[in-house]
Amino acid sequence: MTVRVLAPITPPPCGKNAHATLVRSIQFSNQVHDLMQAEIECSGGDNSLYRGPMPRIRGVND
Amino acid sequence: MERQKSKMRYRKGAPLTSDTSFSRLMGDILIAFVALIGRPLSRLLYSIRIETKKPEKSRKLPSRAILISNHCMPLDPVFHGMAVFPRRTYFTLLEETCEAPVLGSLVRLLGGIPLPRSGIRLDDIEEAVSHGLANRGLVHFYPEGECFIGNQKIFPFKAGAFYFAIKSGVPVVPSSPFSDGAMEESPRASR
Repeated sequence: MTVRVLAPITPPPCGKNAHATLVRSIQFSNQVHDLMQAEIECSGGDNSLYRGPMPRIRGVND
Repeated sequence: MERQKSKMRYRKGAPLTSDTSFSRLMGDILIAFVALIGRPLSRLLYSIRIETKKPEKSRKLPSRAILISNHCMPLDPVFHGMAVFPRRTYFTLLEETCEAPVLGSLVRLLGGIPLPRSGIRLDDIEEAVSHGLANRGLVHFYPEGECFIGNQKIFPFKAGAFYFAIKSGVPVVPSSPFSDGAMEESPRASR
């Protein structure tokens, strides 16, 4: 496993109100998501190892 | 000492970060210990080689930042902690994990911030993130909201971490753990 740390991304400024900030947050999250996915694909990430969501640990976080 | 220990155990409704001199000292010792044994142990047990690759232009992490990554291994917080060592980071996790008797105290000492499911504690989360940024400068989020073992197709992100980044005016540093087949060799890794 390799952890690739990407360059810092400056967020957009706050919106005029909470709703506008939330909308910007969603757009920003999509932008970062696409960047990370592109990086994984570019690095040759292998999805054949996918095992699904991690099961909850009984007695700990179930 | 006993009182300090009991304070470490998180219960619903309690403050999200524990910041006493005892917890800071224990946390520092624990993080140094994990950083020391983490790499050889993960190699030995899981055949995982942790290698950090940073872009040429930004060898140093910003003094304050929100770290973002996809969650594809149960021990991701440990691996990411090692990737940024000697910097220390807070990381977010399920509230239920923090409530567990021993594991909960351990992850809190390492810098775990429980995320309550109830939306009414949103202000408390924001306060905990501000506290994390002020103290260690780094707060790590897994915006997929769940661990998807071995996943390399990132699921849609929840917007919370990005909302806090915008509100705090700090940059987001994405880190993508990717597997290159090393996990396949180890049967333990797929558990």
